[in-house]
Amino acid sequence: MTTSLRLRLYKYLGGEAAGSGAVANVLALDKAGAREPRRDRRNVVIPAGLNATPLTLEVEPGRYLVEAALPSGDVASLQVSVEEGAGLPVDLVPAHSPHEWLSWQQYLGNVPSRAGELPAPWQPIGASAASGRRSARPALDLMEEWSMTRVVATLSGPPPQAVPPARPSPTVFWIGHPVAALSGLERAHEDAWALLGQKAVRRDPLAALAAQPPPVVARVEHDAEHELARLGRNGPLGPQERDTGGSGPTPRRYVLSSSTSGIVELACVPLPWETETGGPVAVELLVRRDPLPGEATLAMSPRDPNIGPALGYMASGSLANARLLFEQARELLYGKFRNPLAAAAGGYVLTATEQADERQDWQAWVPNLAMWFPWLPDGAIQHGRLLLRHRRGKEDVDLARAALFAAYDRGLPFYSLGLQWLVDGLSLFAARDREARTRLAKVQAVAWRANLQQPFTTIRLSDP
Amino acid sequence: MTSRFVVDSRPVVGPATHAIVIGVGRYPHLRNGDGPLAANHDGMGQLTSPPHSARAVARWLIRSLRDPAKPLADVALLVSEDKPRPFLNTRTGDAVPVATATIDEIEAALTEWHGRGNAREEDRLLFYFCGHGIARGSDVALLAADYGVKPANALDGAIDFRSFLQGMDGCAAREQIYFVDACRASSDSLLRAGQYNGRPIFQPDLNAPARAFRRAPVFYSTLAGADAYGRARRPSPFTEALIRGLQGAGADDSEGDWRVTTTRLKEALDFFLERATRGLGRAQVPAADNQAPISMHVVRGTPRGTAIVACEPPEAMAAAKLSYVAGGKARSRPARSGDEWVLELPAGSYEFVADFDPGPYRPERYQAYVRPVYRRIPLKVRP
Repeated sequence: MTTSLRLRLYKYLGGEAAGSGAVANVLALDKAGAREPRRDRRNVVIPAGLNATPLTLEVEPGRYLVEAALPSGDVASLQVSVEEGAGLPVDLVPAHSPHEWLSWQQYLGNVPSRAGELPAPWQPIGASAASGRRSARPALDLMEEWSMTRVVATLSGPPPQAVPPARPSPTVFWIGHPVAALSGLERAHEDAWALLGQKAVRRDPLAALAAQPPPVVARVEHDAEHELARLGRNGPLGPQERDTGGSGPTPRRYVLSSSTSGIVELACVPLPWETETGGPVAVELLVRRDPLPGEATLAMSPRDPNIGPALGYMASGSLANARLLFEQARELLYGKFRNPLAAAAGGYVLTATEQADERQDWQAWVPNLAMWFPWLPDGAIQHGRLLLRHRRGKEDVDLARAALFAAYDRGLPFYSLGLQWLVDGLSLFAARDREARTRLAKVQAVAWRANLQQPFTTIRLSDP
Repeated sequence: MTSRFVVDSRPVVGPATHAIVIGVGRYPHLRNGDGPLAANHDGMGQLTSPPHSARAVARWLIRSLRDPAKPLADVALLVSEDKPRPFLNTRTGDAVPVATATIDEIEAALTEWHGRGNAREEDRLLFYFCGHGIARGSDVALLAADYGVKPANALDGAIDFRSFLQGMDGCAAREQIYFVDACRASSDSLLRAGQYNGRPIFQPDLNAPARAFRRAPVFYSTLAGADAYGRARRPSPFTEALIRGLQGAGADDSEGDWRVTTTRLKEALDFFLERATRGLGRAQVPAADNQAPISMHVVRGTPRGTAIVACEPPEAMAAAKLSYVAGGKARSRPARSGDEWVLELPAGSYEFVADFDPGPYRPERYQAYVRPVYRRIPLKVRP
């Protein structure tokens, strides 16, 4: 008789189920409650959702501590005891979302908990010079000794208020018809990087970036701190509307937010986004009314139940867990390339977490991603990086240079990591290569304005 | 000692770990410094936390770092502080002079450190920096003590960290772990500086064939574009979290013994920084690049995990008498409160109890294995 645990993450995800929802460890305990690591089952990918079909994991009878690290960084755990021959349901229940409509964003870590008390070691010191800066939370004490803008400041200030006052909402525009340089169309032959460096973009970004008057993105939900919108290939979607548009990857889509405090951000929209099994899905756009320092106003996540959690791990820096999820999906991702954007995400994670020097099958697929999708800069960036990492001689170095230049010509990478890797790659050539130096200067000027914590490229166009 | 930068060294046969620790607090050319004020000071001033942070890290490495596969061979330490003082090596009892963390000294020390790591691919390098950092995008400049001494070239007093990382790929050691406890907020100085972000220290060589794959995780104390915080004359919260993580909160027992791994360490840093700065929302969220799993320390004994005990519903907390039982001994929460009860406990099994005076709730007991990093203990009490 087999003994098993039936594992899932019991989390509301808007009625959906994520087959690859989270990474769990099943840690064995003996009868006395001591650890028995030999019976552990590690790195188990479990489904998530209230209606998800649990993963059946065969185990030896006994006691187990089941822990799942969520993309948000939260940990859900449960201790169970399973008898021989039993199939024990194990529903791991993570923290609740403040609203059902924020559940996906909270699951991915885009909606952090902001409430809380000052921990014991941090004693309030007194009124803060910066107390007007963040009315909803204790401020930073700008003691003369501690420059706020640099490494060390001291925490102080009043305890947080329970409910922050609502901030005016940024206006978000849908740029479905960008100017040629941003369109991703091969025939455009215009330089996206040069365009984004122009002062005209800062003066009047909509006029400089949109070929047609852009519509305002309507929110489908909101609270005092966040707004949520849904995006499809042909523009913003209503609350229940499906992405039925038939248009392809070009012209590329962007959203641009403009806040009353003068912050203007441009973000690449990862569309079209096809699930591997269920057709196109919408991209959720979270708008933060009052982003913290270092935080972007805009955060995007495709409502792809299979790849979405992997993107969440990727954004939070948990690349080892992201790798496990992408490895499960890699045949789907690279076999048919039905969703090149998802394949590109997998390429970043697999490249970033590469463990050994031996060539692996996905490394052969990366050049295909670069070659078959000329609208996608990210494949060329990954190809360039792999060529440099495994270079055997000058030929590989020259090919890497060509791949990085091709990526440059294709415009803004969809993923922030691509922007970093493009800077890294071009800078390796810049010292001895004038053309690389010129391109690097333009890419860096954009990268300096990027919010690198967002998985999808997000650039602050306004001056600091 | 083999070098004026090295404050501890010991003979190691075979693969070894080489550490360099830098803490910069005194900046003569920043606000309230004793030298001419740099034009590009950007409002930056004197710091007292970094020297304490650096010394704490060096002390911990010398006293506690244990990896039989790659034992610690040497620790280099550079500090810039108001009143320079020697470093007391608690292993040897020696008071060792500490080099000042000027850019020339840092460059010389990094060159030596690179040389020590260049002996074999199996070696491991550890880099720790605490001090002022300025950034734009993925470019980060780590400021040495004499930042601004050259009025027309202030950034000559800084490490161009991105280029430095790239250049370190030329070092033979294939495991390199970096800790950067510094701000990454955008800087006017850097934005004005064109493409020069400081000294790269090492130049990458594209003509050389690629070496074996390098595992080089980088732990930042804060997100790109954000500030990092600390406290006067004490180690910074990131450094405290780092040391707690290294002591065992970042350990896992997948191999049977408890080992601190870089992946688990990231979880520990996330957890402790979140708790240390939770009053500020997400004011300081640590970040990691190039995440790669490296087992870097074998914990002596049993590490501690954090147990966060709370009643469900939360309203029951204020009325609950909380306790836990381990090894037949019970310990109670000192006073009733509506807050979570947060405990640091050696990894192991415990029975947690919520008891109540006669009234709306029934007592509840919960068996739980507590392990690093943390475990939430939900006591679901019923009317």
